[in-house]
Amino acid sequence: MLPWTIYSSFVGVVMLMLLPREQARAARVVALFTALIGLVCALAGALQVQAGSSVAELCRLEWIPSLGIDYHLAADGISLTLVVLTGIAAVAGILFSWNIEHRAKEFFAFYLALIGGVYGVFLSFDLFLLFVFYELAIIPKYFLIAIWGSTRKEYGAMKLALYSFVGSAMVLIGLIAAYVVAGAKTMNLVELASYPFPASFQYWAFPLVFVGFAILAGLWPFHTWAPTGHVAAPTAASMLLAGVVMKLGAYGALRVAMTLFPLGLKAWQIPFGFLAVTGIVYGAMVALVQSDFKFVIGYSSVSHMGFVLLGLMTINEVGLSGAVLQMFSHGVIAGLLFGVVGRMVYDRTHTRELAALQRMNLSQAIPYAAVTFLVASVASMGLPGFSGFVAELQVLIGAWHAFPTFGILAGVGILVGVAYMLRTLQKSFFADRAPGGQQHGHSLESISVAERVGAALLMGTSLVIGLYPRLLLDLIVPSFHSPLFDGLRKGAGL
Amino acid sequence: MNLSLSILEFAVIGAGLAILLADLWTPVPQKRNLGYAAAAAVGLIFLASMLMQAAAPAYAFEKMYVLDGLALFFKRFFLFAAVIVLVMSVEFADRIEAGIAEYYALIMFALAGMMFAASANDFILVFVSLELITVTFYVLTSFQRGRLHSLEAGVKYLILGALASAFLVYGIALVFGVANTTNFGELMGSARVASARPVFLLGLLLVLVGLGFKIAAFPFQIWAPDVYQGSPAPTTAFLAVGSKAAGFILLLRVLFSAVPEITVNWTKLLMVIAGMTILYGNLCAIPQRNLKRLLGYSSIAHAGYMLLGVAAMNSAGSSAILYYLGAYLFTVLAAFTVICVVMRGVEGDDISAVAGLHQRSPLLAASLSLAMVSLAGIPPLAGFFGKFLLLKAVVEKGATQPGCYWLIAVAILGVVISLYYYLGVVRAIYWSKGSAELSDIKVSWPIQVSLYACIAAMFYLGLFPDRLVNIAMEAVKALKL
Amino acid sequence: MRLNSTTLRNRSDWSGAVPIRPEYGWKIGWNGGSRASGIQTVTGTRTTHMQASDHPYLFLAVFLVVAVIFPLVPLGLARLWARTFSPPKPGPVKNAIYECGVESKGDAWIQFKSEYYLYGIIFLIFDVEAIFLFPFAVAFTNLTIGAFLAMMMFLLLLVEGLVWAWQKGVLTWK
Repeated sequence: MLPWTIYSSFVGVVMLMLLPREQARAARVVALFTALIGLVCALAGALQVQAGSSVAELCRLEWIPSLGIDYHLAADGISLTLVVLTGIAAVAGILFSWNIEHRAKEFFAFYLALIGGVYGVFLSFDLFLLFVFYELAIIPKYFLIAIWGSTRKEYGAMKLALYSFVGSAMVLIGLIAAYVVAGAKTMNLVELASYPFPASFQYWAFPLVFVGFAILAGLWPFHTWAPTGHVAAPTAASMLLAGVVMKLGAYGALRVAMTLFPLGLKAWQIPFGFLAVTGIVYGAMVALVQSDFKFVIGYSSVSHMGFVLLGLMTINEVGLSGAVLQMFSHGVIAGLLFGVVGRMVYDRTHTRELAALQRMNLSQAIPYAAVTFLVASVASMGLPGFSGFVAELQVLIGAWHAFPTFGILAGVGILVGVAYMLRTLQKSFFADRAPGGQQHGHSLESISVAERVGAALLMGTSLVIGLYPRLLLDLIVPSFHSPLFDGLRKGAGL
Repeated sequence: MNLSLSILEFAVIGAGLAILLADLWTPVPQKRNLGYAAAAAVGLIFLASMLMQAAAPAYAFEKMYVLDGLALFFKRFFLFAAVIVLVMSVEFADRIEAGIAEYYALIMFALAGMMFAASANDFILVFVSLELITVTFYVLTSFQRGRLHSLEAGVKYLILGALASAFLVYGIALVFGVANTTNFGELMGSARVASARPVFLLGLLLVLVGLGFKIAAFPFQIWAPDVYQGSPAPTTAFLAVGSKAAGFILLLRVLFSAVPEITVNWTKLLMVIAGMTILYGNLCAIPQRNLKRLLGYSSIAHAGYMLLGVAAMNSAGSSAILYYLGAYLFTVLAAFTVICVVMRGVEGDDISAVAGLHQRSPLLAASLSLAMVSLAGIPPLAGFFGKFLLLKAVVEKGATQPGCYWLIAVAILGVVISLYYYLGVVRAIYWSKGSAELSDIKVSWPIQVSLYACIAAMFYLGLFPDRLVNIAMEAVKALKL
Repeated sequence: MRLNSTTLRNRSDWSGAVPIRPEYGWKIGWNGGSRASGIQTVTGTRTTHMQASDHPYLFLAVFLVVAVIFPLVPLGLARLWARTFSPPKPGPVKNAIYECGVESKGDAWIQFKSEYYLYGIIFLIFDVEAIFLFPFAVAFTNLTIGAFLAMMMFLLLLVEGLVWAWQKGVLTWK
């Protein structure tokens, strides 16, 4: 079932390309249909695959026998979590871009190609295959931003493409080096993870691969692509960027860099933990002073992804499962935030300046948007009852065990997070009615059904996970007991 | 004397002469279609080459000529390239004022030269085949004699090519003077003794200079951008693919089959050349606005990537070069075919001419973008796997030669830079403001067929590389690595 | 004094093997071209402890220095002489192109018919053909059938060239 998430996306791409050029509506329907199939496959797969503490094999075929490269799909709890997240984000993204008319067919084709690549990364257990899917996502990202984007779109698109390309090139070198050093003529993740790489090799291979992936996860100081990219991207693309693509980086860092090179991880734990905390605090501080609505959300993504990276660096079970949960949670919440900013607000008011929005009295003009944003920002602040709370709490506990100082600093980051979300909330929707301010109340079109459904989907997900986190934790936690993490357990004391 | 070994070359020469003669009695409006006849003939020879096998190396002309797996690989490579180039030249025919049949024939003569080069086992044959290629290209580059740029390209190629040939022949003379032989097999026996003599090394170095000119390696790359820019598009395509590949097969033969023991000491030199070539090509390509000139610089960079495989000095590296050339063949031919069709009536080949191409002809737009993406090395296209193999070979070498890691860093830097300008072309195709011309472009069916073939091959090689990898590994067994 | 190549080749260790000492230049000097010392220096074969003057290329250096000085001295003298006795005084007559004869008219860059060029090329081809044909004719009786066929092939190629040129109208003078 699960491999069909990948295949259905690419089938959708082909179908879209065969459509006539003008049929925007048909394109939307096809895209939504495909994304729904993907989501259903993902959910069914998650229920069907009782991964437990083992890796569920899905598909394994010889691909390039002369180099020992296989077409190898498998899943454990971590991949399942992220596959489900991708399914949800994909559907919501399409619902939020229901108003795309300009070259709609191509838009959705690139969108689905990106989704397909993301599914592929999460399900690949052959490193070469994983890398191919990982790079596959670069071109669609570039197109989505550069064609349909807004503010400085070509700059943002090129910056994102170059950053991801640099990252993936570093990863590629690390993978090749691991392949050559192991000398076993295999790119299989499980087999390579059990190979004891010499410590001197791990000391430089780990940072290479880790940073290579973490660039895409917004690791400070390589995060600068994220705000510009998010702001330039069209709504659906920024939802995907923040919701899913940044997770690709974090996932790769966990799945490849940390599993292959536990000794390197141990050696680099403190420096990278420091970078993660810096990202948390820095992102929050910068978000506090932004005047552009979308930049606030963009920097908040950097801050929240810092929690993921911090969780990874704790190297204990609580922290790691918190990191994975935070990936899921941030994927949902950031998607929601970007959806509100990009689709509900910007497409109607054509401005994202907080100062301008302040005068528009939006909470009365588009109340549904106001409520959605309220829920989203509460979730983003990490209030109990939403997924963000569970995740960040776990990360903080993990960090407290591993490096208390960083734990405290991250706590400060949460506080600043509350501050900037409140400030934004107040300025955007709930400002005092300015005397002589514009009355936009009647001119703004009301929130469409598609938007409502999309927002409800994301809000519901965050709420359900917040109230009953075991749904995911039961998937995530056992997978750290799988043989895949043996090296990490032995080498880095997981 | 075993003439039947070089039957393919004779067939190509015969077909070329036949085209020349047929031209005399063909009415003027039909002359253009002679190109299809030429392409068909070369295509048939290509198919015939598929029937040939070279399990063990066979020699002809007093061991000057060798037919082994490596030679056969490159002969097929050149034949296929020539088919596409000939189809392209039919498309280009109306832009050539006089003597289109001669244009076809010259392409075939250059092809014969490349095929002889693939089989060279003696410095004399190296020189003769290289001259056959170069002299033909002098004419091919300046064939649009009404255009100043074309003439300029021809003159530049002539002067610098003659200089390179002089270096080559001087080097060969020095080598012969010390070793008393020009045959690769015999040289290998006497190389160890002769290598103590600096004159011998100097001779080899000069030979390298001559070959470096052919592949446009730094610091002998000066001619490439101007010539690529000025020449007619099919010539440029053939120059980029055929002439470069001929340079590489000769380089491989000289380094790894004539004097492998000396080559081992040259690792550092080759590494530096490879790194500089990559950087130079990529950095200079950034500001280019002329599409052909941009591809000229990018071809320098790609020569640098392939030199990585030479510098790796292992069979993985050499087979990676073969694979890379295979991928490069389809990619570059697709790109130039599109340029050839689109740039009709456009002076300057400016990038803006492809603006809005996705509306004028989706096929051309898709081909050019895929070619650019493949050149940049993004999966699942062929170019990516080629780069993967090359980097793998260099990493393998890194165990004994730590400097290789610097080389890898340089290569990665180059790849990242290249993404910038390749995406620039893609950007121009899909969204650029104010594209003046928006009429549909008619694409003739032979061009369509060759474009589809190139696209299919790019995907096939990227998704199922195993077959070509095996063929390449088999082929480089002919070298002493 | 000959610097024969066998000496050089026998001493394959000459490159870099001789330590370059500072007293190098002084010891040699140029003692009147004394044959004895000169020959000893060049062919001085394998003395176990090498003298500085042993280096075979030292004489080249000396020659170079002399070769530079020798022409420079008279040139300098001539210049001095000219400055004193014949100061430059340009005038219209002195600057004329020719001292005598007819002034040229018009541009030197004139076009002439490219047929000359084509004729020249074709003539050259057949000229070269004749050079090959002559030894062929002399050795004809002893040649194998393969050589005969090769020669015929050569002729055929040339004939094709002629046919091509003829048909293209190259041979018609317009």
